[in-house]
Amino acid sequence: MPRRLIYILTGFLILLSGGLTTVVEGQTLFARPDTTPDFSRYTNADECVVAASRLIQADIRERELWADTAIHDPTRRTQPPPDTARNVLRVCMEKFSFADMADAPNELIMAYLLAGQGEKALEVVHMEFARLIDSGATGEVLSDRFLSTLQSVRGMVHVDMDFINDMYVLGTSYIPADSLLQTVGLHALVMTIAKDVGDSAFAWQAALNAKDAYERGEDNLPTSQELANMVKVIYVSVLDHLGRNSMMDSLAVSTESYRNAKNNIWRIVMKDSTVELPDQVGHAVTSLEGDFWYEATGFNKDGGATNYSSISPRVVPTPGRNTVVTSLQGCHTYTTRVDAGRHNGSNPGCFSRAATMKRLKRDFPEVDFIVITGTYGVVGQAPPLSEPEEADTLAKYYLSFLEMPVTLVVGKTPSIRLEEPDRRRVDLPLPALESFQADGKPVLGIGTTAIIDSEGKVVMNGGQITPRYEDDIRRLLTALRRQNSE
Amino acid sequence: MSEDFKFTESLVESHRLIEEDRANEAIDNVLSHTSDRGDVSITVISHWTGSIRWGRNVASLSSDSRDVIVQIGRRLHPRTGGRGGLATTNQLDPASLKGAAELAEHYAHETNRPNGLDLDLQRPNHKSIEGDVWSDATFNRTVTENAGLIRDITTGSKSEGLLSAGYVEVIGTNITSYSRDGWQKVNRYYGEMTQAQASVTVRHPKGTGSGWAGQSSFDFARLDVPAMAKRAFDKCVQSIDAVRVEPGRYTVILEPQAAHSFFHVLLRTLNRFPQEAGGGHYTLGYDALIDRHRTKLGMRIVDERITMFHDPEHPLTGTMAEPGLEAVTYINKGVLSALATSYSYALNELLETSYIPSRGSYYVAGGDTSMEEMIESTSRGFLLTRVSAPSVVDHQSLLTTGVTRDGLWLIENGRITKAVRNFRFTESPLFMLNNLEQIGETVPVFSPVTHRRAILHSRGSGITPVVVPPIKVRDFSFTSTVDAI
Repeated sequence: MPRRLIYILTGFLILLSGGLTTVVEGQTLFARPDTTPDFSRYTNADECVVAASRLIQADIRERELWADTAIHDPTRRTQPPPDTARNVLRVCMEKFSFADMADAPNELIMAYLLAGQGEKALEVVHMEFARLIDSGATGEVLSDRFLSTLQSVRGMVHVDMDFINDMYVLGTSYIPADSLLQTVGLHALVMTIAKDVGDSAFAWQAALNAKDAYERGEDNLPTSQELANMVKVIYVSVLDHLGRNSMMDSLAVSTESYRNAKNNIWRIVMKDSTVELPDQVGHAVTSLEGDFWYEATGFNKDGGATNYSSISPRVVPTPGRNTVVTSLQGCHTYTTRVDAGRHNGSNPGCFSRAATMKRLKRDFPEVDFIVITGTYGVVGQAPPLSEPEEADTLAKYYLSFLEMPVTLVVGKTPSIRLEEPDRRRVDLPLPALESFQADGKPVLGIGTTAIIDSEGKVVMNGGQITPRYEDDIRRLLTALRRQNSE
Repeated sequence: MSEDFKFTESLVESHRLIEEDRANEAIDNVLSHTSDRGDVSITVISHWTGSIRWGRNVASLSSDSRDVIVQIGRRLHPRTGGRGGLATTNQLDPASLKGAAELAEHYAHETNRPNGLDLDLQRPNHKSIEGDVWSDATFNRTVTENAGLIRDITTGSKSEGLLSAGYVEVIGTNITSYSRDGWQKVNRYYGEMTQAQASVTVRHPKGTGSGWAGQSSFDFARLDVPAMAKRAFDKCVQSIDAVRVEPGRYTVILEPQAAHSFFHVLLRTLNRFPQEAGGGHYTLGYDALIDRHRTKLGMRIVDERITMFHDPEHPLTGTMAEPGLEAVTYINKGVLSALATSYSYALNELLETSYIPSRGSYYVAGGDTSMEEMIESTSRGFLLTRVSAPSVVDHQSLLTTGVTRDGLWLIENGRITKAVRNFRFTESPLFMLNNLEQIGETVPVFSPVTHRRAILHSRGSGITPVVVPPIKVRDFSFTSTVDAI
């Protein structure tokens, strides 16, 4: 009998014989494995909250495992907390008093929300704010506190959207109408929360409220320039949400009208300011330069490259074709393992970018995808490589192993050596990136992405080719496709 | 009972360590149960410790511990970074070795998920230098001989009406290893070392005086336990009825053991990466032009009489082999000349494959001033035996705090005049070594192996011989008196 089958059957027998009970009993309160709550061991409300938190963390770990290569799901990050965690609190609420947790109101609110007792959570909010008002807190303090409370329970929105609705109503009473930053901030925050759960009608209404609030109080901007800018940035994000369809429609007509639409929004917000729209949308780009060129020569049904070859330099972006150009620096370098490109905190890594590129290539086969990167001198743990060797290695890594469906342009990175005894190598800017310009300025920064239309004009620059920006890129490419077909 | 189990049994009776041939036999046995696929590493570590401990003048432990550890590491996809399987046994019979080999193979299969690119991107083999750290005098020590030493010490302390405690420990280890990487490149290694260490503390029964002495070396012949015990006795007797002196800044003569505590604080921070990350005391500041923090490498950081280095082949600071371990001079005539680096750092920042592994062993070059001369030239100051539990309280300045212990004396007009109650000190080794008055002759100090695992798992850094001179510094900061003796 195969060994694996023996293990499965043995595990089954242990389960049937109640052997698992022994494992759970042997488990300490704060130890892994933490996916099986053991109510008999919890002696107070605090321990229940800790257990629920542990279960949520375990669920997040599980979800994030290889999540960067999973099929794109915009709501993935705001999935509801696991039932096990909610069950812990439901059971615990019947056994223990949670009144002792009054000094940690946010934790208590979350506990009630998890247990499905939104009305009690709201009571805690009322009590907390009554206490604050009694202690003399007014205006800004109350507003800040309210927004931070709302922000902290944002992850609970899937549990109780009614609570968010109640909080929205409550917020308008706590936040003074003349406090423009907090008022617009409240509407925008609720808009974001509603977008997270996919309630587009709610999000639309909150965005309209934010727009109205801003336009009503526009003459009452904060005196601090920093805070005034913050309000404007929030307003831009609201307008972006409200005007998304019209912007995409304008791009479907031409890149010029898209640029004009963006400029119009910018002018509305900046009003008397002379600051220009800080991007290069609508400007023509120069051709890419690089020292080593490789090209994916076949694609599978998932959009991944099946083969690649070294090619001579050519004109890129190619006239007549929409192009997505991305620079990859630091996705594999500064690591000692070439396979360390998995999602890691704020660094999306190579795996995530490759997965996004493949999905986009699958859905937009007519678009050219270009990756530009530089030599660094080192790949993996091997002794330093020559530039051609390193370029070949990078091609093998990006095009063969990661199956990026792209044309890969590798530039030689110039560097200097610090004087003795320091001797560190300091990289200088990559000429291939510096020379790829629009409007006299480089189009790409380290790790950023640009979309170029078929006339060689910038449609988008900034952002990264990662799941986070995938929706935006997808919308723009769809509009460009319509533009080309019309 | 199988023949091989008898071997294990006879090992306990007569062999302190298994021999290289027997270890290689075990390695071959494991290899016969290992497939040619992927890489394999087999390490046979044989370890022996003979220890005698005593407290309150009564022997409390006489132990003889010996063990064999066979570690088998397997990876089926070494080129692609797949995780591997590891199995360990301390039995040398064929059945146990076969079981361990199969277990490692099984784990390797279970974790066999290639998660990287199949490229020849392995790090190169680094040469490692090894000192001569084997001593027959240590290895052949018998329990009876050690017991005799202890009896003399406890008898002496009883007759003086004092209490003594301490230990004498001898250690022997040999390591036989075999490794084969994914490219069928085979490496074999055999290394052996001994360590002898002894510590004696003598205290007055009423808790009014305390003296300490300790020594360690790979060679027992270099230890003089009776002389050491006498020093501890003398210090205890001389430190009885200590008086209180007002804390403040004083000139202090630090005996080598006390100086070691401060040099050790320095040594632990001699790593390049943290300094260049911007948080260290050797960080010069941020240089916007290069977008990097610069360090004080190449600059004078302490008195020019200070030279601090380590040479694994030096007769007094020899260590076992460790990849990349070569001689290094950290501080050359007061100038910071090298900081430890990892292989990754060297490769990424310097584009070099040679690096400077950090280590616990070091040598501080001394001068020719004797302790007597140091005392005679001091108008008012202290003589310090050693310090207890030094801990860094400010990592920017390396400000360190701890307490003096086991003997502190006041020096007045070139003479030791009285024993003094202990102080808490708050001082930075960097400030201290910039206030250097005199430096004496270097001597090996007590730097024991405190945990058996240190030897079993880290070879070179397992034994950490240290050679330090006594030093006299001015303006040493004592911040309060303490009641502990």
